[in-house]
Order: sequence, then C-alpha cells, then structure tokens
Amino acid sequence: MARPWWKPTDLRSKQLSDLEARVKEDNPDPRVACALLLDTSSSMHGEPIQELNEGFRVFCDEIKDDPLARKRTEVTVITFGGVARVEIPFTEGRDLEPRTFHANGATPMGAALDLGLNEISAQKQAYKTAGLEYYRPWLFVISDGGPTDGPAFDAAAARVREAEAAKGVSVFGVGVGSGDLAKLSGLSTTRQPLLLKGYSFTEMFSWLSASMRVVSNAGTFGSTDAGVAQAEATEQNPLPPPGWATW
Amino acid sequence: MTAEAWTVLGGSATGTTHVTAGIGCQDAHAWFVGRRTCCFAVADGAGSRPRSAAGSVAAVESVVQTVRAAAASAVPSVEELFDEARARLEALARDEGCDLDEFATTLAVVVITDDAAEVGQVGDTIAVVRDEGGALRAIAPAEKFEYANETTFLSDRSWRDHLRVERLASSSISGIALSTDGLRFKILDDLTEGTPFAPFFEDVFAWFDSDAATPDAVARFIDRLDDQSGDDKTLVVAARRGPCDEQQELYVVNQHVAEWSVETMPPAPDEDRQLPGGENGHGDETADSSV
Repeated sequence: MARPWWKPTDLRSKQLSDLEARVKEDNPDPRVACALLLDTSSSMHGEPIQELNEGFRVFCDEIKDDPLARKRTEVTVITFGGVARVEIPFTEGRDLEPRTFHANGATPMGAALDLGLNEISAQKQAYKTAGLEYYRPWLFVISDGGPTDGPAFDAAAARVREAEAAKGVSVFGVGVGSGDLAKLSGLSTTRQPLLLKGYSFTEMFSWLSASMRVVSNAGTFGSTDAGVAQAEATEQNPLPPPGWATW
Repeated sequence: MTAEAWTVLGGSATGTTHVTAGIGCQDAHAWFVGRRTCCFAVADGAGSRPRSAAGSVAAVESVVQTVRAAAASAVPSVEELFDEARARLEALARDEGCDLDEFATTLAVVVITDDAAEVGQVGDTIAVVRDEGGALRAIAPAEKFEYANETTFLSDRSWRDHLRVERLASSSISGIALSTDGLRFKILDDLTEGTPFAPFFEDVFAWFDSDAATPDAVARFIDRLDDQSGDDKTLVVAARRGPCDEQQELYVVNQHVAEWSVETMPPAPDEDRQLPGGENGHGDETADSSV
C-alpha cells in the first residue's frame, strides 16, 4: 500500500537525517576601506619612525582580534618619504601584516593624497563590481611637516575636500611634533586635524583599530555613496575619544 | 498531478539581527498541494515596519487559500493571486485602521498545474528553476536600486509595475525553489546578476529525493546557516518526487499544517488517517500564532 512519504506529525521530527548543502563561502561582509597615509620623510628619522612602526604593529594585531573588523576592514598603507607609493595594497584586516617603515627624503603629501584617493576610488569600484556593500572609506593622514610638493598638494587637497563634500570619504589629519596643522586643516571642512601627544603612535593606532571596530559593527553601509550617507543619517556611532591628541 | 506528484518542502528562520533586536521573524511561507495544482509562496516583511510580520503571513496565506478555494478547472493566474494578496493587505489595513505601508512585504509565488508553471515576484525575492536536464537558472532576478536595502513591496502604490511574471511549461521543469533575500549571500553565486550558486541547489534537490527530506530539516538547516546578512531566512523547494499512486492534499502555513488529507487510489480503508475537515473544511484554521 502506498504511503505518503511524510506525515504532518513528522514536521518537527528530530529523528530523520538533516539537510546538508554546500553554500557560497565568500566573504560577503560590507567593507570599510581605510587608507593610511604615513609621512616617512627624513624628519621622521629616529624615535618617531620607531614609534610609528610599533603603533602599526599593534594596529595589525588589534584589527585581527575583532570578529567583524577582521573581515570588514580593508587597509592600504601609502607612505610619503622622498616618493609617494603604495606600501601595502588594500588587504583584509585578517591578512594584514606589520611592516617596518624607514624615514627618508622629502614630504610629497600631495602625491600621496592623490594616490590615496585613487586607491579608494578603485576599491569602491571593486566593491560594486563584486556586489559588496561598503561603509564610507577613511582617509587617515599623518605628517610631521609641511608638504614639499606645494602646487600638487593644493590641487590634491581640493580633491580631498571635494570627495569629502560628496560624502565619498571621511578625512582625518594628524600632525606630529611641529606638524603643519594649517596644511592638514586644508584637507577637511568638517573635521579639524589633531596634534599627536609626543610620539604616542601606539595610542593613536589603538584608537584607530577601536574606531574600525565601531564602524564595522555598525549598519551604516550601502551599495553606493548615497546609500551609505542615507544609512549614516539614521544611525549614530560615536568614535572613541582620541586620548592621544593634545587640544 | 497524479502521475508524478509535486512535493513541497520549506521553512523559515529568524535572522540574527532580528533575534538581537527582539523583533521576531518577519518572513513567512505557505504551500498547498492539491490534486491538480501545487502552489507555494514566500514573503519577507519589511524589517522597519511594525506590522510587517502580519503582512507577510497574510500575503502567503491569501495565495494558498485562493488556489485551494478555486475549482481545479479554474486555477487562478499568478496575477490574480497577487491581486488577491494585495486586496488582503488592504483589508488588513482597513480593519486595523492603519497605513497599508505598515504591512509592507515582498512576495514570490509559484503555481504549478499539469500544463504550466507560473512564477511571480514583487521585491527582492529569489526564484531558481531546475530544468529536466538538471540545469539551474534564476527567474527574473530582482531589480537593483541605488540603496542597498531598497526594494519594492506589495504595499507600494506602484507594485503592479514591479510584478515580474514568468510562465514555463511544467513538462520542462523538474524543480523550483523560492527564497527571501536573507539567504542571498549563501545561495547566489553572483549577487549583481542573481545567478544561483549551483552546488547549493544540486545538494538540496539531491537530498529532496531521499526519504530524509522533511520541512523541519529545511528549517533546521537554514537556522544554523551563518547567513552573514543577519536577516530572516526562508527557503521553499518543490520537485517532482517519482511516480505516486496516491493523491494527497496538504496545506501548510509557516511550518504549521493547516490541513491535510490523503486519499489512496483506489480508496482503501485506513484507520490511521481520521483527519478533521477533509479537503474542503476548516479553511479558517490557518492562522499561526507563532508568527
């Protein structure tokens, strides 16, 4: 006699074997792209560059400690000492490795800003192509002196302000020692640059990783800049206080 | 539907962000397997609207009730089913004296008869069909909007402009799956194109052919799946399950068997199956308080 192949009483049965099916295992998490622009000009020689290296090492460790930040934060490091160059291309937090930077040469901050904006823009395009949502990217600039590529800097700073106004990037400037805060303040119309207390790079990078944790645990992402801005408008996620800065 | 009966299996699971926020599951599913028709629906109530869970369950219930109530010779078209479901939401809003928007929900519907399989969708639902040869294809993937979580809802004024319908010959297909967007990262290969992740559907349909296939197993599977979206998850799958020498009628809303009857052909006495209502009774016992 034919039987129904299952009865309604079996609906909540625990005895029968479970469904196992292969699923897509890619990392579909929304991403926060963070471009670190580090001044490695010759004036950073000695204690400053050592402290910066130590701070970056701590940053790499701390990013990996947070289950969401490690999957959602993607960091690129661009140095400007003599020349501006991409030292570390965009890398997921969980794969980020410390590196020792060396101080050398002039301060082509304008070229570094251009590189940073280009990298962020390309990364955003890569997210869109991959169907990934993203948070507003961060452009984090640290410098102990004035830019030595004046006209290039002025043009790049205007580009940065424009990107900020279009809500395409969040801009943070940090001055070190005698850092030219006047120049850094030209990068943002909404956020004043901060002056690092001594060489407390470790505290600053700890703050940065904590901030990345705050951002990557929030829901303020979207699939376009406008979508991100809309999500940000409905959710406030205050960053930790920057205890490493002097006021 | 006598020679090779279609079988439907499915379940919903509350998303992790809904658990955290204490808002419960706003996804809903329902299916009806009758003598000549097989119909199923999934719906995703908008997370931000307070009554969207009621909207999603009303929508899927309306679909299967309408198909069940219709004569076998006059199976409603998928457009008619959407009209009915929309009217149900409007009635709900009137009765509760609130905005239709509060019941915002997406809706996907499949109706299979001997001749045709119709698939209709409003919003970011996922529909995947398997043809006779086993090839998989997404049906009318959702439109992309500027904002990540933006989609169309059955409660929208312009919902009809966004209704995507595809008709297939039933003889050309061997399986259909519907899902809400909560599983998109796991069961789609390409999010922008909406292409199915083939290994998932291959495994599901292979498992479907085994005796172990039950709806609760689907629910348990999607419940333990790390969705990465935090959203509610729903999967309902239908496939032909070999030659069948019995006729069954089954009506399920959100994992709750609203109605059930079996008739073996030729009729044989069976003391185990004294089920209330028969095929035409107790249509009102379908509300599921656990939603």
